[in-house]
Amino acid sequence: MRSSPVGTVIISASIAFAFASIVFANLSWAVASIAIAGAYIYAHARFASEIERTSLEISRIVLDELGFAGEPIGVKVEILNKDPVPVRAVFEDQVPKDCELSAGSNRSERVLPGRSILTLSYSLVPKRRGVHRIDGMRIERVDALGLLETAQLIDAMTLINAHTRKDSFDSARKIAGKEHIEFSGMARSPAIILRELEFDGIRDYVPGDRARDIHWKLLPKLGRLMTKTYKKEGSLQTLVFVDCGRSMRFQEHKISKIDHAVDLSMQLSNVLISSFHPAGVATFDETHVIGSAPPSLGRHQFEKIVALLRNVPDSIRVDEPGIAAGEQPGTPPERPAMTHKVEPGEGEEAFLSKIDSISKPARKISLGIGLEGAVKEALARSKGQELMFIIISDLISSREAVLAAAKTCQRAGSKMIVIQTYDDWYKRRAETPEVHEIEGLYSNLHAALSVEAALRGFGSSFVRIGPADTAAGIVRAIRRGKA
Amino acid sequence: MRALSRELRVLILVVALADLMAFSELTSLTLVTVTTGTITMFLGVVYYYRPASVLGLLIVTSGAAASIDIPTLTETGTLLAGLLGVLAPVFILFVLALPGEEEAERGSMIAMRATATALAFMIGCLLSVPLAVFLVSLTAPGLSLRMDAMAEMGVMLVVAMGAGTMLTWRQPRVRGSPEVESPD
Repeated sequence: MRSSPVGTVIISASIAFAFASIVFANLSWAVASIAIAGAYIYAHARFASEIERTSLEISRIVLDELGFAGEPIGVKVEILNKDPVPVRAVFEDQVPKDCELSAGSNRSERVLPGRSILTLSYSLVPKRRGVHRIDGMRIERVDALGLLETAQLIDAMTLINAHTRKDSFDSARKIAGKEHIEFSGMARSPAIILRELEFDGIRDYVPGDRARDIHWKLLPKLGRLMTKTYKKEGSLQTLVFVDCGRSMRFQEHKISKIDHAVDLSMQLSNVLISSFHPAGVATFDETHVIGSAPPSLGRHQFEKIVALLRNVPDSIRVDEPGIAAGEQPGTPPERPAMTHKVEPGEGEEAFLSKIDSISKPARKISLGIGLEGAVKEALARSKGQELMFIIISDLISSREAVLAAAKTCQRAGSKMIVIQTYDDWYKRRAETPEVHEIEGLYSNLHAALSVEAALRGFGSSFVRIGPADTAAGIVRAIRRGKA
Repeated sequence: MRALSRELRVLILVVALADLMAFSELTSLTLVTVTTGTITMFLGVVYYYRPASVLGLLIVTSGAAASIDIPTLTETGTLLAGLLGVLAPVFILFVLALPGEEEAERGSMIAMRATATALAFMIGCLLSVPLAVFLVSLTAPGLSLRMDAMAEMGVMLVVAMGAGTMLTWRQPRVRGSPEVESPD
């Protein structure tokens, strides 16, 4: 509780009257000073009593069930004054940090009569995907005489979960019917094969057979069309893994890698589902699988995937306070020194322990548990059926995990496509980079090429993408065998 | 809390002003000062403009304080003159002239407990002088006879400062909102 400007004037006047009583040597000024101070004390006691009695109940409703980044989300707040004493205040609902007010007003200056409700309706536009928190309501109260004021924050937390931009959904809808990963016609170098077929035999062509099943090579020999038949035919199940590790979440320029990965995973899964390929999505970080929607062709599969992707962790802006320079993505972890000084006084045990520490791997094996475990689990559940994994990762914090998963896939005879969100392409670059920056870029590219070579060695396909790459372009690249 | 209607509020204001005038020595200067203050205050009250009310109140209080002579508070007559001529009307004027538009339209609310606290403070301050003189007379009877107006003022103002600080020190406990922001 603090004095308002009028209150300060009153207190100053009381002090001035006290001085005047000394100057004029007349007690009437001192009595007047006490009368003014008495009025201030009356205001204070009354205001304190009002504040202590006040009982406000705040209920907030988010009107839009599914909010999108960049699109307004309606919010309705009801403030119930349960006490008969009115509340003179400025009521202001707290706007989350990454949201801006779009329409309506989150602020109202009025006297809320006792046992009555004040309703505020407004809409917020989240600037980015993720969970936005409305902490509560700030109430700036003024006393009845206007001599005192106070500000209080009433906790009434509401979470607004904003999905990725609506354009991304529109793109997913547009490319769903048009694009397909599988090459449907004849091709010399077949692209990714999404249908599991087991050859059974050859029979005479019957009108109505699919063109792709015709054995064209036998036509010049036999002079008639023959058709290949298959015992079993089933679509390849696909699981799209989205890396939600710390390095993916950092945002240094316009778009973060994780936001791009979320958009791509949604669009790719919709392309697969629309081509009648069972598709699912799983999210993982360095240590565990965050969520999973198993591959399916169910009616609501896309909705399940969208619901899963809503819970993907937010991006973190690098310029946000509290992000230390050493935590920035792309900063290689410090490896243990290869040389250890052994003091002369240390014994054999100390020496052996130093040797042991050198022999330990630089990165913890546990980093690979998240993705590797999920891939193994998916393979175990498939009961020998071939699977395809699409992994969207920047290969920084989950590099070892992706390599281990590729190795596992190779052993199990499953397919893997790695889409690398290349870290350097998501960063803001100076127009005239310094020499050491160029050297750094070259070094990063060299490291990325090494990882790509290792992944290709394990039989995986590989696509390196930047922020401008779209799902349609990636699908085309995969279909044409350029991955 | 008790609500006062607008008419009753204006009537009390007029009575308080008449009380002030009754105890004042009505010189022309006092008359002009108090009249100016009264007009300013009434304009502020009518148009719900608090700064004008405050200005008018301060002018009226200054006029009243300048026109009443209270040489000591150890005599019943001057004590009553101080209480009824300055303290009560000024307090009433402040409490009734300052509420804003919404408060005035719905009827001014008078908080009984707060009023009792303020009255206790003011009467305590006023009676602190006779009480101090009484206590001094018990220990040093000769000294109490020589207590002049300046010493009385000193006693009263020290008591007022101490009591005022004590009464405004406590911060209210807020129900349902754990966080009260600290003053800027």
